[in-house]
Formats: sequence, structure tokens, C-alpha cells
Amino acid sequence: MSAYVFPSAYKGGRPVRLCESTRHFAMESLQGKYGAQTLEVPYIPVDDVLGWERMSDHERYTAALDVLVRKCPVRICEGERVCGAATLGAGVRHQVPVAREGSILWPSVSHLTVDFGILVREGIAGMRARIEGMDTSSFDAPAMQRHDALLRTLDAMQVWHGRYLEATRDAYPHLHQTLLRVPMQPAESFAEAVQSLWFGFAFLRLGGNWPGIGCIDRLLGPYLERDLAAGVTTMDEAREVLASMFIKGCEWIERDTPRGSGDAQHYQNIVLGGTDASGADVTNAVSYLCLEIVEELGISDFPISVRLHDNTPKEFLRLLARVMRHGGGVVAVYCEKTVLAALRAQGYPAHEIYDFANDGCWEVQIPGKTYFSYMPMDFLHVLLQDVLHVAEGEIADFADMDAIKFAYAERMKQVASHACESILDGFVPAWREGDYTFRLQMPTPMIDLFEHGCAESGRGYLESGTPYRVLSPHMGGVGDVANALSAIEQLCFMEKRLSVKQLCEILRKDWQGEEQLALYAKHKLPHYGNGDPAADAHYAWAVNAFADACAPYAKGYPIMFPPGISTFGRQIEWRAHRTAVPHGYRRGEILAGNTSPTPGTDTAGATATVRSYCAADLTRMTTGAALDIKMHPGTLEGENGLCALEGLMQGFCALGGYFMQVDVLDVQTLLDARKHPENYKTLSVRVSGWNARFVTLDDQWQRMVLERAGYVPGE
Amino acid sequence: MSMRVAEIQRFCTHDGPGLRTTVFFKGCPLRCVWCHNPETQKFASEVMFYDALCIGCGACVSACPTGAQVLTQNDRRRVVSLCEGCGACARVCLTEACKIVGTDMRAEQILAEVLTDAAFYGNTGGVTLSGGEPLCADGVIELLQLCKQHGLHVLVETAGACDPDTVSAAAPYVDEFYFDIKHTDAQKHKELTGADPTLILRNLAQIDRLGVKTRLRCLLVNGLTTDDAHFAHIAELYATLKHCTGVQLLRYHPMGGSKAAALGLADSGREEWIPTEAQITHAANLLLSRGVPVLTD
Repeated sequence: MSAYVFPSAYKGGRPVRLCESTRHFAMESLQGKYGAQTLEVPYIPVDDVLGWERMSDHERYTAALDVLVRKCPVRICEGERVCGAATLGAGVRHQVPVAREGSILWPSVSHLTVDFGILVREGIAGMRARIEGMDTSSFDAPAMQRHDALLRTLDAMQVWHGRYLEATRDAYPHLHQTLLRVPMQPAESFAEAVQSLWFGFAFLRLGGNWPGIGCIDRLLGPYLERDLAAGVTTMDEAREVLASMFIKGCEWIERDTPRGSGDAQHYQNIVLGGTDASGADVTNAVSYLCLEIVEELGISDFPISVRLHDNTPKEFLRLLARVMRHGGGVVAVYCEKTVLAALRAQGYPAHEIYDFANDGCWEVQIPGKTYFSYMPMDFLHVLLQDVLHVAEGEIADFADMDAIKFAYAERMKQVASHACESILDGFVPAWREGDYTFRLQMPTPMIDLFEHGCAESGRGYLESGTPYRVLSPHMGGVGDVANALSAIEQLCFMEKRLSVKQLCEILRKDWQGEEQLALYAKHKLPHYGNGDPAADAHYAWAVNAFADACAPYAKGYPIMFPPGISTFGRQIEWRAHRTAVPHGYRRGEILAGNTSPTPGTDTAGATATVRSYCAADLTRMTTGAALDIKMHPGTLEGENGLCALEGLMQGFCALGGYFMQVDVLDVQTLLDARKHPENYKTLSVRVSGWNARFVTLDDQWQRMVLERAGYVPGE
Repeated sequence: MSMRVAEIQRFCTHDGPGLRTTVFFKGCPLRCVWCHNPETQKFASEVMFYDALCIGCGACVSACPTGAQVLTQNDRRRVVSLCEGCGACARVCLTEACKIVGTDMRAEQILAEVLTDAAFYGNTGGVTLSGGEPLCADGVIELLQLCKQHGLHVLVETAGACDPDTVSAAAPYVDEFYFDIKHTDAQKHKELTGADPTLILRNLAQIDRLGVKTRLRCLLVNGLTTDDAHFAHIAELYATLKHCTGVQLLRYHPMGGSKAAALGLADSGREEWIPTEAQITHAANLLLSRGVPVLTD
């Protein structure tokens, strides 16, 4: 028996494998002990840096970093087995935690997975030797500044490492022993590899950055398998070490989080499983350990994505289903076949695509080689306002569905074109003249150390230093677009109840006086998400039209613009500018998230929702299209429940899905958590591409999660 | 030949192994006093009326050809005796307050619905025929044949109150029967279900002779089916069967009561019939002590 109970939606509870001191460490971290400490020191003042005014921006950054690593608090937690801590509060707020005259100087970087393997395999010493040995003869002055900044950043990491060496020397000899070798030297054992990886990760976070880790099993698996074969460690020992890393990853959890979109969203994603270029499954002992750790502790701060394929080991699939059943949305899945096809079509070299990870949510990228960002766009609003002119302007009439779809597709092209060209204007000012030189940007040397291409090119992460630059246009509102088109087709052209113009006039009045027609549209018409071929055809059309609109910009420019689908949580803020919709909902209602159905319209169960979602060619949504599935724990009990989850995942892959996040939620538990948040400090839910403790969500976000879980307000 | 289907439910995890699609047929010869699915008792189509969902729009009143729907300033009800179950009200109801139960479908249509989820069944899931009494549905043999032809794992939930010839004809196409034993005392069986158990037990024996796997399912209804003698007889019955994998104990829940009310019947849900955990454990121990495997999933 353990003194610590981690919440689970499964009535059978969670297994206990870790030792009691590790479980104690986990409970303290999850309840915000270290987050509270982190917030006590928000930033390090750098007002005393001499010669500041004469410095370049890169010189200022590294001078500030030098002060930061010398003055930041050093934290060693009782029970930890890996060392290093991101102890400055501004990092939690996505800022570089240094300030002059009380003002933060730079924002930080997120939405990327870097290559921590560089540090694990080369060590600081190896990285330094490589960078110092580079031929910089062709570098201009800005490139030399960046080159020097990389070396000074390595200096800073070394100083910070020295402080931990000192701090552990007497009191923590086991930690000290490992730190004597890593991360200065290449890791040779599993424990060293974990320490080195964590140290690099914590260093980037110390500087306020929010990197993802990516395919941790591919990186660490060989070390563990070598140690196991040599008999120098056991799976139990390895689990304790790796669990320590997961627990330390919770060190930004706050005790009293300001409510909003949730606190566990620092994009520290982990990707497991999948195949290599030969088609062989790469699942290894580390893949299993990661899932076992989150199965036991319910840690959701590293949102895990598993790459599923035809030969995913049965035991691994079973473990995955067991983790899912506990709820919290800790694990999501990719259908690897779809993702690889999408990346191939985008033109990535074959040898790169098998390394794919993501930006922290699900947007696929080649880790350590990609600058990534995305452009969220509300395409329901585009339909309602730009095409139908529901909110204002002269309401248009249309003779048939083809006319509406033609106008909508043309408008999609204009919107996509404007968005992509605006981005190009911002990053590459002379692109129209064929000059693809990037504008110089804020310094990012911490990131540049872990991104291939930056050191070699003398360009930063934001300045085309990486081989791939991706700005993904994201279609928002696709489920509602499908339902709106379906409703227009039914009401105006099949049943001929009214013209499009008349329908839009009713929408402009927010269905007032036409409440029965609204109910008819809401309950009697075909909706996306139920496996209905008519409604799903509209969805598939919209996805294709959006892909076509982005196609001219997808490649061939200094920045790639491959499309994806998301709303994350923006369906909440977007409701302010959305009008009533043809499928019966009124102005201000929260509509569909990501690629999911409109809340309340999916009545045919999870399999039907997956079938609908897979009706589109999702290989055209290069960076991803996420489906959210919520389930009640009662449906997942026993062996049958596990088989059902496995079946759901297998069907999702067989039908060509892209990314699915399954959360198991009990409405009563969530309602109780709203009433008594003090009792549910660690209850995690999947929000969108991230997880959050439910009690850290504000009222609107909590309602969204509840409604997706099947809660009907007023019941 | 068409069959009357009450509902086709997807993503079922309590009607056999793995992820399944369950087809609920309309019509059952038994009238169990605790019935969980009263909407499947009658063979004819019926309308269920959920008062709480009604917005009083009156569309059903206009649509109803028999005057079964009543709506005045002070009165909103459905006159069950006048309702012929045509479903006209359900078709126009905007809030699903009126719902038709019973759709005629051919075997190929049912199969097509079942196969839409074939990608999700994996190695363990499949189709379950339930009800009502599925073995009383005309055309069920054709449906079973089609399901087997398409490689589906087929499970039938039955109470065995059906024609023995149907049982024999069905058996070759069924992977497993979940066989309800309502009560082992003949007199009590008759009191509680309205039927003599002789035919039921003969059908169970026939299934076993034909070599098809069975699981006995016993519903625990406090005070009605919780006596020790009943479970002792269950153990004896189990001992006579060669292909029975064990006994599953199900607990009564009163949710059938609200469905009965929606059908215009008296609310038959009774809280006092819910068995205690101690009763369930006691029954399980009694069976286990007699060498009967107790199945939980």
C-alpha cells in the first residue's frame, strides 16, 4: 500500500511500481510545491551589466544569460535522481527571465521540438569543439555575432552545471557522481543519458523557452538496452530514474494558478513508438517505461503522443489503452501511415520523415530542424460573413450549392493567400523581388544550440537557420462549416423551405421568431460526426478546398505553408464575432473544437465520429488534424473496455485518421471538482493539444470540457 | 424478410468481448417484472414520449392520425390506447420528446449497418444480437448466416424462450450465447416472467449438445432472485453443460422504469430491488464453492 493516491477515472485505480519516496516526490511536485518556489523569483535583474548600451542584441542576451546562470536559485529536491531546475518564474510565463529596470527584455521560444540528442551524444565539450572548429570565413558580422553567442551560451550552461556540481558535492553524492561526467561529456549509460537530456531541457526552460522533447525512446532506448544487457541496471531502477525526470517536468505547476486555459501547457511533448526508415517498429524498453510512469502517477505535463502503425506491438497497445482508461488525456495517438504520407507529399526527404515529432500539441515537424508556427483562422466566420454576409452588408442569394461552394472556395484562396504573403512580408521583406534573405530577429542562441543548421549558417532559429521553416495555416471551425453547408443544402435546396437569402436574414436576427426552424435544423438535419455520408461529404469538401487554397504556398517559398486544422480552445473566443449558424445554433454558443463535431450533434457514438472524421483525405492536412473523443469511464471497464479502446485506435488507423486524443471523463467528478476544487488539485483533463488540471481552467473552459463529456447544462 | 429493430447501438462494451455493435430486436415472449428494456417487449412499433423534452409546439398533435397526442392549455399527454405506433409524431417532433421504437429492416440492411464499424472490431469484437428476444425475430437465421459469411464474431443474448428449431438453425452461426436464467424454480419463473421455464431449459441443453459456447447470466434482483436455493440450482445446471464457460452475475438497476413511463406504462423501477454488494459477493462465493466460474466481464 502507498500513502499517495493519484486520481484516476478507472475504479480499479492505478498500479504501484515506484518506491514510496519517488511517489512522495511526485505528489509534492504535482501539488505545486516547486512551482510555488519557482514563482518566488520571477527574474534576475541585469541592470549592473557594464557596457550594455554599446552591445549588440546578441551580446546583451548572452551577457544577461551569464548573470542569470550565476544568480538563479539552484534547487535540488529530496528524492530526485536527475539534477537541474528551471527556477525562475518569468519562464512559466513564456519570457526570458532577465529584466532591466524591472522590465522583461525578450519573449521566449515555444512550439518546437529541439534535438537534445546533440547534447546527450556530444556533451558540452563536444558541442564546443564542433562549433569552434567551424569554418566561419564566409560569415558576415551578424553571423559572427551569432557564432560567438553560441559559444557564450555554452559557457553559461557550463557555469550553471558547475553550480550544481558544487551544490551536490557533499549532500548528494549519487547526483554529483553523474554530474561529474555529464552533460560535459557524451553520455555512456542510461542514467547519464537521462541526466544529460534533462539538463539540456531544464537549461532551455531556465531561459524561459518551452521546448518539446520528441522521440525520447529513440534517444534513450539504446542506452537502456545496453545497460540492461550488461546487467548494470534493471527496469525497476531505470523506471525510478526516468520517473524523476517526469516528476521534475512538473516543477512549473503552480499552487494557486491564475485560472485560464490551464496550467499544464508548456508544450513539453513526448513522442513514442513508430517505425524507422526500414519499416521496423522502434518501440523499446523506454517506450514502455514512459507509459508505465504516467499510468502510475497520472502526470500529464508531458503530453505523450504514440505513433501507431500496423505492427505496433500488442503489449504496447494494451499498455496504451490502460493509460488512456485512467483519464486525464495523458496519451494521444497518431496514425503514422497518414502522417508519413502527408510529410512525403509535402516534399520532405524520405530519410527525415521517420523522425517526426511535434510542436508541443500535435502539429507535426521534423525535430531539431524546423522553425514552426501556425496561423489560426476561423473559416466558419469566413463562410458566414465573407460569403453569406450574415452579420453585415447586403445578404447574397445563391442559386445552388455549387455557387456557394465556388464563392467560399474562392474566398478561402484569398484568405490563405493574404495570410501567407503577410507572413512572408514580415520575415522575408524582399521575397517579391526574389531575395529570400530573412530579416534579422531577436536572439535565440539557447535554441540555436539544439537546432541543426543554425551554427553552420550563422543564422538564428527565427532567421532561417533551420533547414525547414514552417508556418502552418490552420483551418478553424471545420465541423461547423460542414454542418452549416449541410443545413443550407437541406433547408434551401432539397426541402426548399426557404431561400439562402431568407435563411441568412433569419440568422442575422439570431433565429428570433424562427425558433422551431432552429430546432429543426439542430435536431433533424444530417450532422457531421455521425457517419452520415451527406454531412461528411461537406466536411471532406471543406478540407479539400482549404488544402487547395493553401497549395500554391505549401512549398516553393523560403517558408513552407502546409495546412492543418485546429481551434485549440479558440472556439470560446471566436463566439464573440460569430453569428448564428444555419445548423440551428445561436450567436454566442460554443461550437466545435478542432476537427470534432459540433457539441450536441454527435449522437451515434465514438466509432461514427471517427468514421466521419476519416471521410476526408487527411494526408492533405500536413501538420495535423486533431479529433477529440471523450468517453465515460463506465464504458471502459474490464477486459472489454481495454479491447474497445484498442479497437477504436485500430479502426482510427485503418480508416486513415491523423491524430486522436481520447479522454475519459466522469461528468459527476468534474461537477464535484467545480464545487470543491480543493479536493481535485491534481485532476487532469485533455483540453486541446495540451492537458491541464481541471481546477485551473476558468469557468468557460470548464464548461467546454464538461459539455464535451456529455454534460447538458440544466440537467 | 424484414425484422423489427428497436435500436442498433455502437461502441458497446458490455454485450460480449471487445468492441461490438449490438442489434436490439423488438419483441419478447417474456414479461419479466424487472424488465430493463420494456421498449423491446412488444413486437409492434411503439412511441415513447419524454415529457421533459416537450416544448408544447403542437406539431405532434397535427401529425397524429388517431388523436393520441393531446395538447391543451392545461393538458399535455399521449393517450396510449389510441396510439398505433405509426411514428408520425416522432417524425415531426423537433426535440425528440416523441421517439419511435421499431424500424423494419431487412437482414442485408442490418448487416450493412453492422459492417460500417468493422474496422473497429479487431480480433475480439463483433456483433451482438439482443433484444427483446432476438431468436424470435423472423429472418434472424438469414442475418446470422450473413454475419458469419462476413467473418464477424457473432454473439446472441437470449432468454431461450423461442422455437427450438430456431435455436438449432441458429447455433452453427453463433460463436457464443449469453443465456439468461431468470429463475431456476419453475413456479417463481412463471410468477416473475409469465412463462414456464421448460422450453427455455430444453433450448439451453440443445445449444450445449450442438457444441456452442454459452455463458449463463443471472440478474440479481433483491428479494426475487437472490435466494441460495436458486444459485445452488444454477450450479447444478452448470454441471450439466459441457460448453458453458461460467456464470455472470448482473445487478438489477431501476433505469428501465423511466423507459416504462415513457411508454405510458407504470414506472416499474424499484430502488429496493437493487442488490447489495454483500448479496452479490455471497452469490458469487456460493457459485465458486460449487466449482462454477464466476465471470465478471
